[in-house]
Amino acid sequence: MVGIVLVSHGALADGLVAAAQMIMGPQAAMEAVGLTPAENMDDFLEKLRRAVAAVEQGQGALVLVDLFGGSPGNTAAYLAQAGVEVVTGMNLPMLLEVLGSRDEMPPKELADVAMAAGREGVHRLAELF
Amino acid sequence: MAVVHMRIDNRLVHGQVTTSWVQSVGANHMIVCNDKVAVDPIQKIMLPQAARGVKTSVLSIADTLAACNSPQGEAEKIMVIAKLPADAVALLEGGLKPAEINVGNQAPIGGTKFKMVTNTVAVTAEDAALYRKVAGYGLTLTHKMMPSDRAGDFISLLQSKGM
Repeated sequence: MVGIVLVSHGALADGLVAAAQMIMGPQAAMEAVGLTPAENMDDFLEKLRRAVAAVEQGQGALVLVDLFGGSPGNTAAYLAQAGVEVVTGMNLPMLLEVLGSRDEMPPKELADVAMAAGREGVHRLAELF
Repeated sequence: MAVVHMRIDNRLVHGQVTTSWVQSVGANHMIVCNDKVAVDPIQKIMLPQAARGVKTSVLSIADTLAACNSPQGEAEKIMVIAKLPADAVALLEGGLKPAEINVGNQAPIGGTKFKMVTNTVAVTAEDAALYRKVAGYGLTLTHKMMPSDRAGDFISLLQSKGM
């Protein structure tokens, strides 16, 4: 099982965890890390490293981040440079797909699944009518 | 020299800056200035990506001054983001003449003796002296999170917090 770390501004990551568990039930090896307004980015990077280590079950980890270009994402870039898979633009469809597939593939492929699911989850309902 | 705005912010380029500040001050070139950040390969890749299409440079203090003083720099509308108050002082000492200066975020640094003067700005005694040096260059040092916020005088704020 690939470990999952959700990273966001404020409580969005916690909220996504709650929403995903409401749909798919309790989940192991998943952690949320939210940046608080006065947080030092060096401390935040340390939190991210600890969270990745905590969810790691031997099959690696995938980090999902709320916003490309935000401070949490820019900090997660240090993980990416160290070889951890990081995908930005996280949303609930992305997380659900990742949770459903993480027993079957390594982080690199799971990152591809996350990217596709994140994009495919966006629909304009007026087009259905 | 066409530095339309200097921001002191140790979160550098982030959501508040790209979604509100760049447009509000009318900048067409963002320069992130700090000697350490300028040699951090990750930041040099990520910060320009974060800027959503606005030309962005990540430069040392010396290179920031050179860029702002170049003929090309003179023709641009530059927003300088100084990571630390010390960077802002060094730029002003080097002759940079920004039209306005604002304090954005300064997260506290572990192991220092700081006081939170706003929700997001930590100040040590050393920082307070640096901010006063910045204000000594004759511009009002404001503290606004977003451009639409009412501008407060940062030095008055420091005084009111006993710093």
